[in-house]
Amino acid sequence: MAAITLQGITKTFGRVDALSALDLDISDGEFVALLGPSGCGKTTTLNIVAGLEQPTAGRILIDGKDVTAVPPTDRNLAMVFQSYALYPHLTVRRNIAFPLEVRKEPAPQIAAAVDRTARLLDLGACLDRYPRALSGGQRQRVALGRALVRDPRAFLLDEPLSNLDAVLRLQMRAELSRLFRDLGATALYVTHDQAEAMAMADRIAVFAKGRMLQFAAPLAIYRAPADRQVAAFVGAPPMCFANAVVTEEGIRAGPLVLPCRHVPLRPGTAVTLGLRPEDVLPGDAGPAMPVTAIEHYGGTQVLTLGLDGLRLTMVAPATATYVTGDRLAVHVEPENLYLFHPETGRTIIAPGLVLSEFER
Amino acid sequence: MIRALVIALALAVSLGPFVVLLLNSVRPTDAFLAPDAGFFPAQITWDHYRAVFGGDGETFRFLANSVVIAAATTILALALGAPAAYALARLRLPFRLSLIFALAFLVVRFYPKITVALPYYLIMRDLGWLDTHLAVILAHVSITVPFVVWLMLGFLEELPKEIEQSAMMDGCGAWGRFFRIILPLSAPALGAAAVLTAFTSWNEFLMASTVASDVAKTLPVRISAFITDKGTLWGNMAAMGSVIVLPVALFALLTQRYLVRGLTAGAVKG
Repeated sequence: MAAITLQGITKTFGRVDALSALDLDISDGEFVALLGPSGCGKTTTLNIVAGLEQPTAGRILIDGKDVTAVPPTDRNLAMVFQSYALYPHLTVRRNIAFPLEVRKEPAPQIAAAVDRTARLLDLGACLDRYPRALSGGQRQRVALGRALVRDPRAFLLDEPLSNLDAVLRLQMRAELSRLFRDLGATALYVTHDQAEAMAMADRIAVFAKGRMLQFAAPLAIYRAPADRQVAAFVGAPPMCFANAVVTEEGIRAGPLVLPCRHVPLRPGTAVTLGLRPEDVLPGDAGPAMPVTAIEHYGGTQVLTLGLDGLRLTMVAPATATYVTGDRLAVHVEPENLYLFHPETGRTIIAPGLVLSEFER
Repeated sequence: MIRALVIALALAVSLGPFVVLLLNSVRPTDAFLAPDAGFFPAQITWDHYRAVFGGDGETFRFLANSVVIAAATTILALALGAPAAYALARLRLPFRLSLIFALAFLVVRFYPKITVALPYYLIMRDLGWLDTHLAVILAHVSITVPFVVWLMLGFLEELPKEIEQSAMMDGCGAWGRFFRIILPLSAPALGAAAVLTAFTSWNEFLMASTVASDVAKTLPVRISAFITDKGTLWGNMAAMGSVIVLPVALFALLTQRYLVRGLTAGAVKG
């Protein structure tokens, strides 16, 4: 396994900047998720690492060696495609054996490696079937098998779970996590599903519009987002935002005044307030906000509260017996407030952000 | 009802000449010019077939020529056209050169073959290749390669590119991908291209008649020899014509699955 470094990677398609000056350092054995909405540059990044696309500028290093000009054939990276891209004219056995056959490895070794991989992925029963006769989950595992059968320097995975149904996706998510952790493999994992990235990755690189907004561990992304976009993208149900003003008593957003820890801003300064639904708790002081909608998820329920143009969501226990129209006051622990610059979106205060870090 | 009528009409138009050909091949010679000769011959004779296949066995020689030339043309046209199409489909050349090259192949089909027949004759004469199988094969390859390239191009552009990218990631080079992935997946298109190429060569008259006078003469060229200074031998001509058409018709029936799939390749995904 290998470390992967991207230096100043830029990719333009015609006049469109798909990626601008991306620097990314992936350590040996690290599982990194590239997270972002579609068209944000994450798949382009993956393809550039793979060598399937050439960067307009910048360098790719694998274990310190510049591979920018090395064709994908010779980079010894394994890739799992979103569409699986199985070879339709080959059986599962031959599909998995393909990378080894291409390398002209001796037949007994190939057979042993295929058997080992098939056992690992529970594909033993369908080795002699063709891809068209497999279910979606099986195809997905064959695609994985083709990557796992050899010993690549890193794994590149392009939304490998996105074509699976919800239950299978969760199951494979856990399996994949365990598999790659056991292998100690370097992996780049493209996804638009923030829950997937949070659950699986050692570190997440959040992308938007061709830029990497933040590269950090999942909890750091969650509790100390670099800016409003990252905060909005990570977390379900998503963070609520409101225009707010700094006052002597705390942060005022509409009818609500929320006490805050030390704010390095003068009273009267406009900010954007961000509240994670799970941080909004029922309180006993302040204005009573009416419940405008309730979504029950079985294990929890999500309430939407609205008053005077301020809209909040909060997570309530499954057993709570709210009905639409109920009024309740809310409480947010002072350290759970997120404040963003109203224009640039940069984070001013976040629960996971040490203040001194901001003040310096 | 109207649909059935339209189909019947279309069949009559396309199959009519073929039926007349078959009927003529068994029509007695003196019935051809008789004023009261009906659509169906009053008598059936096998004389024409006997004449065509009997005697010196020349017909078998021309039949062999046709088979050899059609086979060689098919192999060469596919061997050249398929990799060319693959290159055109995958290479990213500057200035849209790929498109220009692809169109250049098409140009061959824009002008009447007669315009190149004479120059081709002169070239073959200078090379000393007149009346050789090679001369006919080369001419037929030049006619059919553009067709193979375009048929394959349409098919290759529809193949999901991830499959090939996946092969790249698996460490497979360009030739490896062509032989291990592209060719097997293109079997339907290759089949269609092969069948149509073989038909074209089998039926081609002009170029063959230009460069092949005896040794390399093909069946269609041989037919023209029945137009003699003493009149046209309609019966022999029809018998020979049937001999040319029947194998093709049989072959087409056997391969129609490929033909239809190949001709609609690119139109439908999957």
